Amino acid sequence: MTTEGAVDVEQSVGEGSRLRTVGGHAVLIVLSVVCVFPIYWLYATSLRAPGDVYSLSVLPWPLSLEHYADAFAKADILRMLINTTIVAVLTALGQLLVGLLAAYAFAGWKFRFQKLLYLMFVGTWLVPFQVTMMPNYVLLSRLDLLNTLAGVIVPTLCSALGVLMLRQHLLGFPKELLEAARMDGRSSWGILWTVVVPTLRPVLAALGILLAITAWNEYFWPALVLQRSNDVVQLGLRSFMGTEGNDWGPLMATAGLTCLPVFLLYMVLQRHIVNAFVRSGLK
Amino acid sequence: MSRIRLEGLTRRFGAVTAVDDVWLDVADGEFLVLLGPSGCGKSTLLRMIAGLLGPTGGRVLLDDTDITHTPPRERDLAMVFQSYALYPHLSVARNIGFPLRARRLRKDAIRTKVDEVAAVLDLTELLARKPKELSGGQRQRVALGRALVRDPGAFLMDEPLSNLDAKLRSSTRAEISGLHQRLGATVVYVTHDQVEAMTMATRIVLLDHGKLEQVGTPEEVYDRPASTFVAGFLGSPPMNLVPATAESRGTLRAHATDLDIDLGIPAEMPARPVILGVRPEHLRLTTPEDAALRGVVRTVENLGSEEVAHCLVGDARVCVRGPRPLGLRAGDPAHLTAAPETLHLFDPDSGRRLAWQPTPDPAAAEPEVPLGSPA
Ligand SMILES: Nc1ncnc2c1ncn2[C@@H]1O[C@H](COP(=O)(O)OP(=O)(O)OP(=O)(O)O)[C@@H](O)[C@H]1O
Ligand SMILES: [Mg+2]
Repeated sequence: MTTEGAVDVEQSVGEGSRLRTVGGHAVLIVLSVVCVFPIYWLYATSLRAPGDVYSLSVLPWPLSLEHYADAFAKADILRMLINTTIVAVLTALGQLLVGLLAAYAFAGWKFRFQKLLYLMFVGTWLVPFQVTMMPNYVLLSRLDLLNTLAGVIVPTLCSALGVLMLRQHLLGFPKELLEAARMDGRSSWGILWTVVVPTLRPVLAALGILLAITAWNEYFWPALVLQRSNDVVQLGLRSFMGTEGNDWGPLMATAGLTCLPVFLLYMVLQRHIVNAFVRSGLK
Repeated sequence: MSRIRLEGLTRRFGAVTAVDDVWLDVADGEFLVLLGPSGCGKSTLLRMIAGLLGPTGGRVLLDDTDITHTPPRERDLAMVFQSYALYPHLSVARNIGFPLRARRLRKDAIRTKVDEVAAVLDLTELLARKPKELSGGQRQRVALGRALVRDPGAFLMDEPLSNLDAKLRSSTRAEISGLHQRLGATVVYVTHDQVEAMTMATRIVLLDHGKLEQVGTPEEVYDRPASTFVAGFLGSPPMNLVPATAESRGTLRAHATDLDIDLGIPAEMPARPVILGVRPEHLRLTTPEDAALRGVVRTVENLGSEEVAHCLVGDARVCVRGPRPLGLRAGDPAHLTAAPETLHLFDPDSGRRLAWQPTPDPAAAEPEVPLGSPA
């Protein structure tokens, strides 16, 4: 009797938890549909025939690549994609380098005003972009960097997020490893490149990808700096928006192309990214 | 190879004095072991010699150069860490070659040297592996190899064996001793394991709360402990320490509850309190009439070849160690005695060793406190 009772209880617990799992999955499915649907709609619209742009059918039919051809004809999409890639890669690399050097100093040395400096550094994260936007703009115009890619990249080189994350990782870095390298005859600079960077490679890769994607998706700052040109793809999108209405087809096609590199990057390196973030959370 | 001298080396962390005014002269080719309980400042002392930590006072000399303010990489010293600190992203070969690359040696010179060291440490088959693919003992040997490859002036080792199991530990112990003899290297070795200290050291330094308690050969520190701390730290079980009174009755005797023993000193002096020390292996069973200590056996431990009986004499705990069977069982009365030359006396206040000085000689720099003067 008692054993049967125990089995009963166990079964009911199992059923309860299964119900909860089903419920949880239902919520997750709804959420992912909500997230994915706009993206799906983007690609669906871009693939409709020119007359069907406002069609509400869920499946685009007949399929047509005409919007893509249109987009390539009206704007230099390839050049824009290359420029955007350059901006994203250089921004990410620059932010990584600055973050690495700053984090190495903050984590590895004791110096006066260290805490204060660090707080100020990270505090820049809390300053809204709108506050620094105008001073940076004025500075760029004085330096004659408006309408150049350098103008887009240089002011963003110091990323508080990068410093914060890398410092956290460096604080958890085994101290004896750094000391061993010192005993083995390396300078601090040598230790950074021969021990710290190779050991932190997964973290640097993940952070680099995150920063590159952020830079890739940036719209407002390039729009400000590159007012009179369509150098990066995010601005190229504007050329399909006119005063007498938007040219939805090519706009969707270009937007779809813009998203592709990010999706590809994420898919190829997904495990890498997730691993690094999980580990950074645990350490 | 080099000689290391420490002159009044001190390190404070806030209110804590981790290393307190240490004077030490490590001769060329010596195997010096820093021994002491956890937190006594061994690692701190070693890290100051290495240059990884600056002293708050005192000097470090290597041969005749003052290296107190020299950065570690310019000191000619190699260190083996407790965690081994192998570079996880490098193969065994590149780990061993790391110090040579840091010194910008030629590639083929590095390869020759690495192969040589790998052969000595039996690592040749493992050269292509990463540290995470090695066992603890193998990692330990790689760490040793990384130190050996440089031909440094001296080796500093911080508990390099503490992560190994008992069997591996004893074989690696022999390996390190062998290396020391072959290379004639100066070694400063930190451990809290007295077996390591006794078996490997040419001299042992006992530290307690950052202070030097005693410096001497393994025989000296074991046979003539300078203080109750040293007496109570070395040996397993350590020396029995029993508070008693020393008094002359024809010859000098020590007595306490259930204890009355001849100290073998033909002298007259006023009675004074002492701490009587006797090693467990120096106590032997005797007849009730001859017993100098009378106690009760509490428990008996079987160590395989030997037995240890824990007894209570008066209210002092006294251990007896001898070949198995000892012939004692829990609850038995224990009648014990010991030869006078195996007895030690300590001052109850300072804990320092007391010595009988028949002719007090103020010029003799005896570290020991006189027991008394001839009456
Ligand atoms: N960075 C530090 N800051 C503050 N106190 C410290 C620091 N390093 C060591 N200490 C203190 O100094 C004392 C000696 O420490 P040390 O690490 O030298 O001990 P140890 O003899 O090596 O011990 P163990 O055998 O456990 O390794 C301890 O009381 C420790 O708390
Ligand atoms: Mg230590």
